[in-house]
Amino acid sequence: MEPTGTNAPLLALENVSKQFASGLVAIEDVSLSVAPGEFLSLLGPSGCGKSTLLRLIAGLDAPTRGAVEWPYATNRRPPLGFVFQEPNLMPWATVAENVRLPLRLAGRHAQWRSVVEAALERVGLGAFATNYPRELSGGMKMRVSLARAIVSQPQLLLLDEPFAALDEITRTALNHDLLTLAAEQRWTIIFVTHSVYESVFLSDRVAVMSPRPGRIATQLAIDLPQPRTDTLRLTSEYAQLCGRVSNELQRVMEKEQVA
Amino acid sequence: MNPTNNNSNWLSTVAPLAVGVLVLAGWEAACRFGDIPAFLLPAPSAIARTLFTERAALASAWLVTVRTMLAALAIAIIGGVALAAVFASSRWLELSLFPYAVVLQVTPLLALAPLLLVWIGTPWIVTLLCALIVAFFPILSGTTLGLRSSAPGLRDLFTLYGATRWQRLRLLLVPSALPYFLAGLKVAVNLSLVGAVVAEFVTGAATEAPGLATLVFEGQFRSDADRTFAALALISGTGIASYFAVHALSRHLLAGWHESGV
Repeated sequence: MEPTGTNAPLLALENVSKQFASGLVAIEDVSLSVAPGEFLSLLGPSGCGKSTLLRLIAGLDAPTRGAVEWPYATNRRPPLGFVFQEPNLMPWATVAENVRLPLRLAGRHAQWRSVVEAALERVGLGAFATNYPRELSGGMKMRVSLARAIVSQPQLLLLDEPFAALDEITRTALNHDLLTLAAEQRWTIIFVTHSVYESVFLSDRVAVMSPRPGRIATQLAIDLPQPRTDTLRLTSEYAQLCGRVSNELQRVMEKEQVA
Repeated sequence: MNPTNNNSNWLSTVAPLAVGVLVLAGWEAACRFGDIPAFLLPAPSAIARTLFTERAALASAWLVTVRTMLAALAIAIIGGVALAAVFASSRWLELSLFPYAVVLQVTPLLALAPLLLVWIGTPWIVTLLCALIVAFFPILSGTTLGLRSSAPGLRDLFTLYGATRWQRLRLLLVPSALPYFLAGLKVAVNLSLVGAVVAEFVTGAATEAPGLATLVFEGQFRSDADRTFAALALISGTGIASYFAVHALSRHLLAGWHESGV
């Protein structure tokens, strides 16, 4: 029996491995725990199994070995939100219907309209409820995707390089929104990225992953003050942390080249 | 709506109409002033006159053909969609049955129809079956492809939020498959007319209720070119009308979200 209580981690991965049918070992022996309310970034080069790890946590794939456990919620998977690399909106449905999807799938039909409106308001898309996704820009589509995660009231939000395809300006704005939302909604967040700066700016902790097979090479606590604001980017503490994380990533890449 | 778009809309209606009018006028002139015998090529005005004077016989023949076509189309839609759903839920069944659907599709109808007449005997069942055979495949293959083509990311999302099988079908698979189904329907609607007409040619002599193709056949036999052409005009008119009807339906259903509907 796992310990249950306020000190228990929300998520605990124990010696998790994933081998695909093709024989490729995507994840090998990963152990990781995430505390409630924590913001964890998984940082690594492409092909290091970051996305696979996220899918294992979400239950979209099953690990070949090891266990995904939820000690804090007495081992029941808590409500999850997932923001993918792509916005993944239904092109045939309006923005409001897209945001409503989690409610609909959960059979919650009462007052969905006000819940959806509030979520759209929250991401600054209040005026776009009746538009179709194809009428929106890339950044706006990602915002719809965020609004959809909000209505599902997740305890844990998983983000898989969510803003990677967007321009720098939109990306910065969305990162800000994400931090505000996380604090407001008390989300626990696991954020997959390949940007050192993004991971340091957003996270409480950065786990650097190494490729082939995917492992966690090292973990660094990011003890920068909250809330994170733009001025933080100008501080030497931020620059030092970015340097340290960058060095770790460099080490991972060099090992890869030697091997 | 931007001006170029408006312009091309206007052009897409007027340009084909203008071509039609020009061709008809040229045809009329050739018949009147050229030395073309009426039994070879009747003038458009003569065809129009026949359409009016023989409207009773033509209308009842038109009803026979259209009834065959619509019945075949309805069965093709129900059967094709149902079989596509079966294929989508079982890869195993799809692999074992799909080749036979292809065999049915590639066998020339004209070779099949006389056999069917010998086997079945009842002409209206044979015409219906012929129209059904050709209309079935486009619906089946379109819908099968459509049911498989939902975006993987959306499928994951539905899994993540615990969608039931029914929710997945209704909210994800049906809307994803709709454009593919409609593309199949566009082909099937005209093939069902072709199938009905071809079968009428084969069963023509045996039938009590003549269809449009039976009239074409008869007119040819009696050198009644006016009647042949009037029946032909009705066949093409029906084809054009049903094509545009499905086109309008497709635009209406895909309006706003699909590239073909905006």
